[in-house]
Amino acid sequence: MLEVRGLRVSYGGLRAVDGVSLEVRAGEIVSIIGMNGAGKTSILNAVSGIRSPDEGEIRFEGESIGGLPAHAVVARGIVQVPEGRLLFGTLSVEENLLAGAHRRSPFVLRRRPRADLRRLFPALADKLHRPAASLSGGEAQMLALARGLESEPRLLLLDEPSLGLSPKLSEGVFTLIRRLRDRGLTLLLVEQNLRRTLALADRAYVLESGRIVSSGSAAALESDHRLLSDYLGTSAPAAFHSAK
Amino acid sequence: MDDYVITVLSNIGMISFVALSAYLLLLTGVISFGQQAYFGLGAYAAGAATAMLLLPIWAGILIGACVAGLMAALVGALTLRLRGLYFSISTLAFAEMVRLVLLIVEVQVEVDGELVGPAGAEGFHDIRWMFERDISLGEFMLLIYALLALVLVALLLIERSRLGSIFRMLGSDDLLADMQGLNVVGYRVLAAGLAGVLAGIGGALYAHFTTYVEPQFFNVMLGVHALAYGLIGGLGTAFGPLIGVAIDVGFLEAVRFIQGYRMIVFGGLVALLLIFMPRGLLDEERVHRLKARFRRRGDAHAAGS
Ligand SMILES: Nc1ncnc2c1ncn2[C@@H]1O[C@H](COP(=O)(O)OP(=O)(O)OP(=O)(O)O)[C@@H](O)[C@H]1O
Ligand SMILES: [Mg+2]
Repeated sequence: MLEVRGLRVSYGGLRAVDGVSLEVRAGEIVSIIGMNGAGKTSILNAVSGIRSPDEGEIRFEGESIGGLPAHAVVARGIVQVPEGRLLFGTLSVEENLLAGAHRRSPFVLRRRPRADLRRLFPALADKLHRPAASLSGGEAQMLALARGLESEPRLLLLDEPSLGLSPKLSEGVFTLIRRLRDRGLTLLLVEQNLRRTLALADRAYVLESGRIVSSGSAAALESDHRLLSDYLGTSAPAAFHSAK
Repeated sequence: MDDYVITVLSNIGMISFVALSAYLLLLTGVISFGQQAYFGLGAYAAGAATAMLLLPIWAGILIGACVAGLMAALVGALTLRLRGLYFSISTLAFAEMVRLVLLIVEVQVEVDGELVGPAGAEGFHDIRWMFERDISLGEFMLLIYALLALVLVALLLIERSRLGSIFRMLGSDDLLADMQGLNVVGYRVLAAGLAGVLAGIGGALYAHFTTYVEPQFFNVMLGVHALAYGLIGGLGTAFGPLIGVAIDVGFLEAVRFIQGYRMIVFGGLVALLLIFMPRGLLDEERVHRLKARFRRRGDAHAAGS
């Protein structure tokens, strides 16, 4: 579905992504795992057209989309839910939800959100008219996800959806991601939390300083102890066991 | 009503168009110091239509609105790719350029044995449509308010449409709006064009109300005031900037003993207000709350009946 070959992204002299190739097949959850500054967001931004790549090829369903403006990429069915800056704070929850419905003409009165979205996100249903800035971190993340779905994407790019959430709340987000996949959505998921992400993803790429250092099925990576200890440092075994 | 009251009320109405013009752009997150240019262009174009080409007033207003709107969209298409401050400065530069050009343009035609038309620094005199038809100031004021009401209805409809949300999304976070698949520059050019139309209507009315325009009237102070009205009144609804105009043109102008100190009082008022209500009187949050209250009351009515 998505194919990236030899992607390079740099900021001034700094090369943030250095020859990354990866692939996402329809119906998969594929994850990019890496520490702060590894270049994860830069990859997603290149795919979604927020930043044009210096080099490399990006194909979506056979068509080359590298360098297209963001709105052209969204029109093809790729939607990014960014990290951190999630919502339009001054707009109401409902307006944020509808923000994703880009295919609708702008010259129509606003309609209600789709009913099944309300079912997926019951916590938001009775807060529709509140300003989005008043939501809690978990609610904001849910709303950003819901907004991404509203544009009926075929490939959803999720950038650290568990960032800043308590373990319980991020568990909720992960459960939701699983349900979305079960409904036929394809996801490219960026995360720092290796263990929890591997439990969710079908396949993963491990990114270090802009390069892919390891990749494969989630199960294979999970049993790669060297990777785990490299990535998590000396406390890895303890962290690994305490979560089980 | 005496002529003084009518003049103050008419001024409030006409300046409101410029305030709404700046407001529309503020919604989309861009600050223009140049909306006075479109007010001026609308005034000159409408004046030329009725005084030189002898067209009816509705045609004059339409032409003024279109000339201003097209020009604003064109300038927007050229400059809206610039970021923040750079765009703001380019609007100011363009507006000053328009003013300086109009200071030297002399195009006059003979109408009934008299020369009529823009006469450089002298301005554009004898836009006498109103007097030739014996239309009173009061009647013209009604025309101003009828058009203002029409514009407000249009803005409130936009507010309830997806377009309104899109404008606010651009204002709230344009990178995030980009990620939603919105053509950020395209929508801003649209907003700039609509804003130009609004300012143009104001200028067209102004030219006919005062029977003359001169480039001096639409200098940068008009543009800065137009911005201030939205910032004082708040960006939550189109009524915000109107409150701003009413406070400045209405209250401060009407209270005669402030005369001469008006700029000081106005400046002080703006500073105080922005300290205590940094997003204006009717900011988004207050508007959300007011709407929620109305909605609840509406629901209670519906449940009760
Ligand atoms: N706009 C920018 N300008 C300059 N350098 C940038 C910019 N964005 C990212 N970088 C640099 O590029 C590198 C990769 O950044 P990126 O945001 O892709 O990392 P990341 O893996 O998403 O990190 P995090 O987990 O902290 O979000 C970092 O060294 C960062 O400092
Ligand atoms: Mg990142």
